[in-house]
Amino acid sequence: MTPPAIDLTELETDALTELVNLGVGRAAASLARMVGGPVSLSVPAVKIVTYAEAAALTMRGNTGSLVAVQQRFMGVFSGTALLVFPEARSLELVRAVVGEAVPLEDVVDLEQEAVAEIGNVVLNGCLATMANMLRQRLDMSLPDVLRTTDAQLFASARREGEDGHVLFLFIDFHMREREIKGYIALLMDLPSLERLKELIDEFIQRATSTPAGLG
Amino acid sequence: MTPDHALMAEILEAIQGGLTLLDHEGRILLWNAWLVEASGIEAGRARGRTLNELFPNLSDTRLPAAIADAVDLGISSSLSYTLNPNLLHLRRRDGRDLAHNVVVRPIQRGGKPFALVHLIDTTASHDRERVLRDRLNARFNAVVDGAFDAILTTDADGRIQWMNEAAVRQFGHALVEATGHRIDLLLPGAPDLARLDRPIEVEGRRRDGEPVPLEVSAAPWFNGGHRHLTLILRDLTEAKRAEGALRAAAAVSSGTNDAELLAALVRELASGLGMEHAHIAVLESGGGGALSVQAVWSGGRLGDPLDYQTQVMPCGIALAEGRCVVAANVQSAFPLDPTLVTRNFDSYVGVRFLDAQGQPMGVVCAMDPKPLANQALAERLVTAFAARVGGELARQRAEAELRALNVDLERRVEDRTSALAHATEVLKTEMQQREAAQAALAQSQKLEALGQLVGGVAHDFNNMLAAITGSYNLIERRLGDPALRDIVAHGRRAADRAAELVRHLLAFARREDLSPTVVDLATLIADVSDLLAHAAGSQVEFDLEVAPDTWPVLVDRHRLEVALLNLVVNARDAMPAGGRIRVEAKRATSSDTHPPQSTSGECSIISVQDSGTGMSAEVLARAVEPFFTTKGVGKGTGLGLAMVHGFMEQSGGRMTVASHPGEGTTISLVLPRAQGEARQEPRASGKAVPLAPPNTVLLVVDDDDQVRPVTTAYLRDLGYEVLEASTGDEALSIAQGALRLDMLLSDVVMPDMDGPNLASHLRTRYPGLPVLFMTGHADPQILRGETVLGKPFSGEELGTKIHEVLRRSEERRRGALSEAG
Repeated sequence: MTPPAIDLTELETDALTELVNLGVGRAAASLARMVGGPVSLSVPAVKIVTYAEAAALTMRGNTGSLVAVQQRFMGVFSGTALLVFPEARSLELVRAVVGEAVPLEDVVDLEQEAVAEIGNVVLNGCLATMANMLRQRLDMSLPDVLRTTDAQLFASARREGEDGHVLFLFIDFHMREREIKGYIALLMDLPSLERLKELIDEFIQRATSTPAGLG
Repeated sequence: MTPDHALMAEILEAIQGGLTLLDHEGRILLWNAWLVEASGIEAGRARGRTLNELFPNLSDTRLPAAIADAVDLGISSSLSYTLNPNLLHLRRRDGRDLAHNVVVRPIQRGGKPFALVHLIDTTASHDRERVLRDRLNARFNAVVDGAFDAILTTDADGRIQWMNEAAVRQFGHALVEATGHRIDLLLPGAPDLARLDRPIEVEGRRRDGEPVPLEVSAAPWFNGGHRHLTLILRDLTEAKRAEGALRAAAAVSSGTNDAELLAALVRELASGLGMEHAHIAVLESGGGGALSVQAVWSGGRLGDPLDYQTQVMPCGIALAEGRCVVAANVQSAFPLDPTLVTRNFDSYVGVRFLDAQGQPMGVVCAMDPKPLANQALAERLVTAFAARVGGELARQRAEAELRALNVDLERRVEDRTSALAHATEVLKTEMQQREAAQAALAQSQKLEALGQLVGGVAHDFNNMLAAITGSYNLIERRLGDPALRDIVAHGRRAADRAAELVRHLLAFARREDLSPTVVDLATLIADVSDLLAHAAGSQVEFDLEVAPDTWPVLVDRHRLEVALLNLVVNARDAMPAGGRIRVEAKRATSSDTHPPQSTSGECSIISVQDSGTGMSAEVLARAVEPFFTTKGVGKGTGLGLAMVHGFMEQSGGRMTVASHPGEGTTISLVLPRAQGEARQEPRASGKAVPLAPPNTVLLVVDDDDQVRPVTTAYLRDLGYEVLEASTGDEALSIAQGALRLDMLLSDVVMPDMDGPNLASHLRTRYPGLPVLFMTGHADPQILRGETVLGKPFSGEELGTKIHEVLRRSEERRRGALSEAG
């Protein structure tokens, strides 16, 4: 496997992880409202990987179908954001959000809508916060729900040709005594990734510079 | 051409969906017509306000944050009705709530951020989905809720998602109670059901803790990427109960008492089916079609048997057609049956059973006030029991028949055995009889041989004696010298005694012809009393006692006299030193005799008793034996008692001997009473011999050349004219030459021609010729009807007899003449 053409330094990785956690923290707040109970989301790790690696990572511990919520983002860096769950988990997530009051059959029926919204909330929270912190504005599309296999997932999302990369984030959901694990994959081309990298560096400079540097 | 502002405004108003534009502070800049209608809020009122002001509940929802995100961060948000019900109060035209999804988009214009809020009516799709779902549910419900078996669905973890009505009934949990619990709640200890590839038996548990046997089949299915499991649980309680009943019925031992067996079977059937009543009825023999109930289980206990007519009963149909199954409303099918009505039965299952020949034998049935829950099961169970009952009763019958057969066989064997025993007895008796007969035959043959020998000897002897006696007679007549006469007389006496002995011998060797007449014993004894006294001798005291009422008896007079004489002589000889002899005659009944006779009857007894030495037991035993004598040589012949004994037997009576040593001997002659009167017969002793009538010619024929001359001479002395011949032929020729012939005197046994032959020859010439046979033998066959004189005879006897015969012949002639004349 060829190593990614671009990579983050340790400092950059930490900074990005912190940014994302801030983002998902916001999403968690939104979900908490929906859920009516405490929700905690956490992103323990961030990595830039190739498509192949990303596929391998999603396949790990999972067999079979996946559910993915997809949103396109456009701005200083563009790409496609995916929130990915194993199919069996998605209903559980919805039920966790929706609660027991809704009849199971209704949940099953409207699962797609709910998953889309949940994905929308999480991705919005994640990306928009990131963008905000990086002092950028991103346009986000409405969410689409995909049911696919892990093999197809990144193949169909690929936009930018061979040199596309994936910013891979593991994300854990904790709500209603359940723990649901999924992934966020930001698919970007090299230029976008490079720009992101630059923005992260700027953020680091700002954060680590003297207060006089902020302005 | 791009649409101008007015056109755009038109478009906005025409859009089917709510559109409202908010500024960076969230104030409404735009409120389209759709929203006006749906919310009931005029655009004028809406503009300038925030959504929160119009819809205060929005502060609890996510919408305000989403709007803020759009304005501040440029984030697009989608809020689904599912997760965000009741955002805005909107109504449809028909008044129903309007379900809506909301999408918030950021809009930038002239450096200012705006939020566009788009409301989309999802009611229809919700409705459609609901209708579809309802329809599916309806069908699903119809199938599933109507199902008899419990149906549940679980998720992949085994948590109950849903269960049907039957499951609720089965386990006693309400749906809400059970949902979310793991399947262990209902099926504790069940294996991993997700891996079932075929149905298994599991014990389920009801809400109240009761166990219930179930058959579980599981089928996985997938929906929306999720794995579910459908479980179908079949209640095996009934089946297990039926199985238990069948097993119990099979286990009920055939060895138990028959009534107990049938009772056990009806009990198992009723409990196995869970029905109130079961009975076994058997067709009564003798037609009529009546069923007799042998065993009945009703209301939880063994019931009393009852008889009923089959025509109105379902049992009758079962008997006729093989089975009758009425799952419900049996009373309307059989309205005339009183039992159904009184017991209020609703269901009936009856199956007939057959005997060993395949003929209907009876019916096994069950009835219950409830309808049949499981008709197929009930029918199967009753059929199985009917087969068992049929087999049992057939076996009972076969056993009874076998027992009866055994009894019959035993009886026959007994009969045959006793028949065999009887036959053996008969055979034994026959054999004994044959042996006795053979012994008797041998004896009589012996005797006959002896008799022939003796007879032969005696015949010659007789002739010799006759010659001797005859000679002595002649000598005696012609002698004048008394001394010589004495010698002759002595010799003659000796010859007489010898003749007597020979007579005795002959009498013994061959039964003499007896001439029984009815005799008065008193007269007879009186006639011989002097002879008897004389025979007793002077040394002996002679006593005579004759009862006047003795019965007359049928006996040969002469022989009886001789017998008495013998007995007296014996008695005298038994007392050489003298003693007493007592002759007695009396009447008696046979039971008085000793030993008593087997046939009852009246009889007369003559007894001769002596006071002699008596006989010891050994001697007594041999007393009657021929040639047995205790007298010395030369004294007594040993034939006396034997002859008397034989004579008595021949006369239809008996002789008994009673004797004890030192006590004397009594010999009794027992004769049965005779019918008729005694005839007086003149005794011919002491009278003179009549002389011959003048000119009477006698022909004397005898092959004995010694006897004949004596006889001839004697007759000439009597005055008869005598012709003599030694053979039959000679006699015939002499008779031919004779001028007249008045009588034939002939021997019987002669070499060339016997006496009777000669007589018949002569009678051709001289019809009615009187004949006198002289013989030493008695041969009744030849001499029937003729006059016989037994040799040896005295001259007197001869003379008397001839005179008798001539006289009789004369009388006859005269009689014939007078008749003719």
